[in-house]
Parts: sequence; C-alpha cells; structure tokens
Amino acid sequence: MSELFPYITHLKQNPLFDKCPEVILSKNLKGVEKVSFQKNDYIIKQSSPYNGVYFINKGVAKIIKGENENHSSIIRYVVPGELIGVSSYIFENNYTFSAIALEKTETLFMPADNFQQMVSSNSESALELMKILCYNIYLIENRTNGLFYKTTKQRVIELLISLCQINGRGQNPHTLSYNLDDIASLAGTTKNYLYKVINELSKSDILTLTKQSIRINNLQRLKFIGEHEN
Amino acid sequence: MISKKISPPNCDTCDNKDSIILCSMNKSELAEFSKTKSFNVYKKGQIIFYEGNQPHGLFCIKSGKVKVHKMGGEGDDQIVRFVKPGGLLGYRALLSNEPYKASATALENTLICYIPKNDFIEQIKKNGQLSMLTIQMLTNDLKAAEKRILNMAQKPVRERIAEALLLIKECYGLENDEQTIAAILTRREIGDVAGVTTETTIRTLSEFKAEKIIKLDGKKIKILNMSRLVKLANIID
Repeated sequence: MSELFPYITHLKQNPLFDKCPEVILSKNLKGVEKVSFQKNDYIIKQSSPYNGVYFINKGVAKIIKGENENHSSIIRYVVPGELIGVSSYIFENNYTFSAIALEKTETLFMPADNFQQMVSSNSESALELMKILCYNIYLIENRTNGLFYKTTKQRVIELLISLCQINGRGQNPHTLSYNLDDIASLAGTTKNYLYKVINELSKSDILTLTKQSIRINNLQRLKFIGEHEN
Repeated sequence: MISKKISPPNCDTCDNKDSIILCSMNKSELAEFSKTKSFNVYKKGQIIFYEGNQPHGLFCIKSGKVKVHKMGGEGDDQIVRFVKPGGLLGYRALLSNEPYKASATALENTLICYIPKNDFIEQIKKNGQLSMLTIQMLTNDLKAAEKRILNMAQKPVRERIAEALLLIKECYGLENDEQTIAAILTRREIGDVAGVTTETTIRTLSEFKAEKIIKLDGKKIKILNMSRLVKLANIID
C-alpha cells in the first residue's frame, strides 16, 4: 500500500480530488499507474474503447478530433494539472477524440471504474468535474465566437498570447515550441497566412521565428496589437 | 424586465417531468423545490438574462422557446443554441460561479420556473443521480461545442446552412403540412446559426431553392426534399 501514497499526494494536488477524503482515494487506487509517452505518441486514439482518464503531470498534449486522421482538427492543448478523457467518461463507450504527446509527457492513468467510483461517491469531486467541463465548453465556444467575428490576424495574436499563458507554467514562457500546422489549425487559418502574420510581427521584432520555435520578444506590444487590430 | 408573475406550477405534475433532469429527485425533494422556486412569463423578444451578469439561479423552461446568443465585437449576434421546453438555462454560469457567457432571449411567449442558486447546488450535493445527470448534460454540451467548432473549421458553407435548417426544424418543428418549418426567422438569424454572413445565407438558400431542396415563401421555409437536405448537411457525430 505504501507505494500508492505518492499517487494519493499527487491526486490531492488536483482540484478534482483536493477535497476528496483520503479514505475514498486510497480505496480506488488499484490500477492507477504512471504512464510516460514520447513525443508524437498517442495517449488516446479516437474510437478506441474508453478505459479511463489521464492526469497530465508533465509535458503538453494536443487533443484532435475528426472523421479520420487525415481530416481532423486540433481542439485544444492540455498541460500539467489538466486531465483528459472526461468527456468520454459519462457514456463509457469509445473515446471521441485523440490525444497526442507534443513532447515527452508523463501522466497518471486512472481506470474507468475507479474514476466513476471517486466522482460518484464524493459530491465535491462531482462539482469540481462540472466546473472543469464548463471551463472546457467556454474555451471552445469562445474560439467559435472568434471564428465568427475576429480577424484572422487577431485570432493568431490571441492564440500566441494564450500559448504564452499555457507555457507560463513552465520555465520558458515566451518560447513556443508548437507545430505551425497545429497553430494554424487552432487559429482557424492556413499555414501560409500564419507565416504572413508571423513575418509581419517579426519585422517589428515583436517575435522571432526559428526552425524549432516562436520566441515572443515583446508580449505587451503583442497584446496591444491584438486589442487594436481591426 | 419580468412581464408577469404568477403562482409556480408543481414540479411533480409538470408536463415536462420526464425530460427535465431536476425531476430525478424524489417526491419530497420535488415538493421542497416547488416551495422555493418562482415562475415567470417572458414575452417574445424579452431578454431572460444578459451576457456578463452574475447568475443567482437556474431557469427551467416549462413552455416556449429560447435562444442563447453571444454578442460579437460590433454588436453582431451568434446563436449558440436553442432551448426547448424541459431544457435548462444558466446552469453553466451557476456551476462555475462565473458571470453569464451568453445572453438568453425568448423567441416566443415563454413560461420559465426559476430555482434559487443555493437550492440547486445543495440538491446536486445531496442527490448523486442528479449530479450524474448534470455531468451527462455538460458532457453533451461539450460534444456539441466541439462539433460546432469542427463544423466551422471543416464544413463548407452549404453544409453549414443545411445543418442550420435542420437544427431550426428540430427546435421549432414543422407545420401541419409536415414540410414547412414552424418558425419565421430572418436570413440574418439563419446566418447567425450557421456562422455565415447574411449575403451568403441569401445566396445559398437561393441555390437550395433552385435545386428544389427547399421552397421559399417570404420568411417561411418549406423543406421539399428532406433526405437530400440531411445528406447535404453531412451530419457526423
């Protein structure tokens, strides 16, 4: 049992289970395990049977969804502290999305039955799960709203700012090592147009594009342009 | 803002009892609920709540229809969803303790029960089944939001407008001829559902008309070829 204590500590750090009594947590640790993924590994494959949820400890993953692999779009990024698989949890059928590690990613896997037991036996965890779902819905609806009303340049700038905020939890918040195809997909534009915006911003030295990453040199200026772009 | 206040109906005898998640409560819990809730009538076009305001309770639609919509930067509207009798409004803001992220407006004269925030939250904490049904409802919302953004990113305009017509038909139903959508919506409102401009909506509806998929009679839309419209919408789950 003692080898499971680190898992309890880890789960208690997540808002979903921070108010969950240890007695409930310790009863549901069978099958919980640390799973590591290399860059580009599938953490979850769309249409595969739902068997549990993954808490991200370290690294970044992307959630993609579509009719098939060649025709899919990126929904969002997940970072440490977040969990993936909850949208499939309630219906206990197949995963409706894929999750792919963008760098070496460490997760804590919790089997479906344990997760179900933890949420249904603890009202605070259930309420917290509702908050997480509300937040995820808000993020997507906000992006949809952006596709309706914002210019492409505005959407690219806002996305770069939000990626800086996601990175803010790491050591180097202003260096974004994301795939340009993914950034274009998230911003709802083409890679060519993304290049055009990036080139424009790099001429003013607001950012620098290298082979591996985008470095934001002047976040305040970027925010200013995003707010005043029409 | 509230046009008329009358005695609330009893939850236990509500016509929508089978479709409302709140009715998963037992008789005594429902009786308690009925005591504390209020009941209001909203006229067509009346705002039920505004984007940005703080939520204080949950809205449960007894009859009528409501649109949930977000304002764009220049006062444009985006219709996020329609809500029918038996549907709930304002629960996401309530559960996340955040201001409303969208506004809600009555599309016709609408009767709505209003449940104070604390009563709803307390019931969720006490009632495991209600809690699971709420999570299920949010999961469905998440899937719908994901589907919508994928449509925006991947679907051509014709597919989006075909899907918008089916969504509007689903919400409003058909008239007695079983073909005409029982709603009078402007081209702009249809465009707001599909996420396209009014001009594109007008052009695409004219194409559908020329292809004999629909018939346009002023603001009324008659669906002449339902199977073609469904195929055109290319609906995937």
